Amino acid sequence: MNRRAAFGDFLGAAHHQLGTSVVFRTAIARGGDMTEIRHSLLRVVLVMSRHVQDITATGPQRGLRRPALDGWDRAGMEAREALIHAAAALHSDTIGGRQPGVAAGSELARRLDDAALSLTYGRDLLRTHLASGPRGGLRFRSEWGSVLTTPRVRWALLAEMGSFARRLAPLGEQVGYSARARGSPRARQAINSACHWLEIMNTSLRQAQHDRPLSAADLELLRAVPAGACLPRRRPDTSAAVRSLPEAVVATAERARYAAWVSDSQSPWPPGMSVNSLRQTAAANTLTSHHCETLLRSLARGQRIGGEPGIALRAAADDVGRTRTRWLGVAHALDQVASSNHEPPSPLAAVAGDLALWTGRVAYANPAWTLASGPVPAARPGEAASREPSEMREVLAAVHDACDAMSRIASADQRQVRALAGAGQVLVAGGPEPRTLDILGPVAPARPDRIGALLILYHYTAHASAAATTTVSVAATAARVPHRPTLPAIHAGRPREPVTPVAAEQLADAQSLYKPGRIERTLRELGVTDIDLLRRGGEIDRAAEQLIILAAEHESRLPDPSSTGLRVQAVKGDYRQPASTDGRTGLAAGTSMSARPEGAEAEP
Amino acid sequence: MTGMAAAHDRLEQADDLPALLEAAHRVFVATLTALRAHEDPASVWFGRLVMAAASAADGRDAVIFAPSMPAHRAHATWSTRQGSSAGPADTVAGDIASLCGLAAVRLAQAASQAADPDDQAACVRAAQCAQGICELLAVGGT
Repeated sequence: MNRRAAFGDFLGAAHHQLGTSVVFRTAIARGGDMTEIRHSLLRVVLVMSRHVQDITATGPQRGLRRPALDGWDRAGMEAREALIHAAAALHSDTIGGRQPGVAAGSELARRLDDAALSLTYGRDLLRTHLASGPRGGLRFRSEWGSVLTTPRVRWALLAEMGSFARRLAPLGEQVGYSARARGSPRARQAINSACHWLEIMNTSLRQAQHDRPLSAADLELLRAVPAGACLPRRRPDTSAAVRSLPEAVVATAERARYAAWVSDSQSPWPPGMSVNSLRQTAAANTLTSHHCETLLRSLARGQRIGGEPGIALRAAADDVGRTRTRWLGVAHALDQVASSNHEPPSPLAAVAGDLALWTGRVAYANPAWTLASGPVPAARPGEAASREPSEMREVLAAVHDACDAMSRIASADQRQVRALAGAGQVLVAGGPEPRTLDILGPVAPARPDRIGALLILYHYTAHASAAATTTVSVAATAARVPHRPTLPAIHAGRPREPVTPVAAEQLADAQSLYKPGRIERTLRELGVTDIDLLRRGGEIDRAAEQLIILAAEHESRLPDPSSTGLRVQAVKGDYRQPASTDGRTGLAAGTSMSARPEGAEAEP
Repeated sequence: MTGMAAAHDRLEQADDLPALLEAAHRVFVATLTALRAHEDPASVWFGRLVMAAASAADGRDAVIFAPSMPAHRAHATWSTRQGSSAGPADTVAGDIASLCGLAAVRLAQAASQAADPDDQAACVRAAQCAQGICELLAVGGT
């Protein structure tokens, strides 16, 4: 699905260049100059050694006061030492006999040279995601950097290196039997010794795999690591072929994921961030999910009604439809806040707009489609026709990656809302008008409970987008379409809390302050995001609470006041939703964003 | 009279910068209210209405922080409840495009005449938002 070069391409190429076991054995049997073979084997061993050093440098280290390593970490250290010994055995003062660019004479040496080159390119690809920090530590260059340093991906790389050790280890013995191998006994001995160390490495890694097996998904994730250079923005070329449009979506989705990662890894409030950017992003993602749903329904129409792919595609379309509803809910909530800073659109908002544009072009099968395209062409494509089965692969890839990107954008924007709120830049009407679209006159920073409500909307939206990514992935599997593994959600790890301690405290309280009552909670569970409906739910919850309190107070007029006083307290404790500081509860205080003016009173 | 018709009248009658800013504010709020009321995923207008709504909210924000914007207004005289326009989406889109087209012209004129740089910037931003809405909703687009 993803057409960019990935690490797995280079691993596969290296294995292919060594050949099948039969081909490799044949190449060994054909022999050759042992000094040349020794040199070529050294190239492979050196690049394997560099891979393993990269892995072990980012993992647990041995030390006097550190616990002993075990499992994969110990195997990694043993592999590292084995490769150092193998390289030392192969190294020789007279080894540089062949000039650069001169092809080896024997088939075996050529195969080893080619495999070494592929592994070197693979390492270069991995290094595009990592760099040395100013103090010698690692610095991530992309969202994949943090993935590469996770234990399971490090172990997967060890396992891959182990597979090469396993293939190369018999070389020493087999080449010894080759009648056509020629050269000094010393070179033959060096190869034998190196292969002995490769066998030790293989044994160690096999033991680790036995003790703690890696899943196919771990290996798949490693192989899916793409080249780290961020793709350039794709120009809105109206002459592009329709078949190439899904590819543009995949590339744009990757840019969006990268932008989300950058937004997450920068200090709070990156350039261009404002409520305006959040609005543009929410609107664009509403469209993107709308387009994706349309595409999935059109794909489903090409399938048998009762067939597994058709059912999975319709389920995915339903989930993506829910994502659209969530993003629209965010857009509605953002109507009711403002900010005084007006920045150009953030990079994230810009790329979200691009994603909406390209998904629209795929959905409408029209390279000239724009967001301002009129209704005249009348193509609600999903309804007009079903997609060709041959389009399934590319279109599902596009939809999958777009949903994944939206999930990351939602999480990144959620953090930006925190940052903006911390800077007092999420403003609401301070006047008496409850319908807060009409923001005018005095404005004030939104209260923590209201920020909490907004954050919860983003949380639901990120969750819905991630769920849609999963169901699209399931649909792809059902339709037997290979798809890109989803990058685990690993944040850059920097603290991204609001700027002032007071704001940090308020925001930390925000979500705990805001707990919807029963009616509102039920509405939310039903997927309702309409702000008016949710507000009415909150008001019903509050009215019920008031009724119960009134009833309990009425009871307090009966003879034993001390006991009924306690009962009122108990009723309040049982039924009352957590209240905001002015006594309002639920959406009547929070998401409603309008029950009473905010900012008229000082923030608590 | 709908909110949009009232906003249109105010826009035509505004004879100084504060009045124009207030009228533009009404235009954006009425536009936003009408757009949200007509969002329907089954409609071919859905995408453009959603994008236009974001611009309407941005335009509203641009004018409310302009230095010459009147600080207080009698909210009781006009409410967003009366802002919704009746009719099918294409009719409403046409009405909004017409209204925002007028707002864009008047705000652009005001930007060139305003003395305060912050007023100028606010008018430019608001004019851009109005123009964007107009382009999105003009019937028979590309």
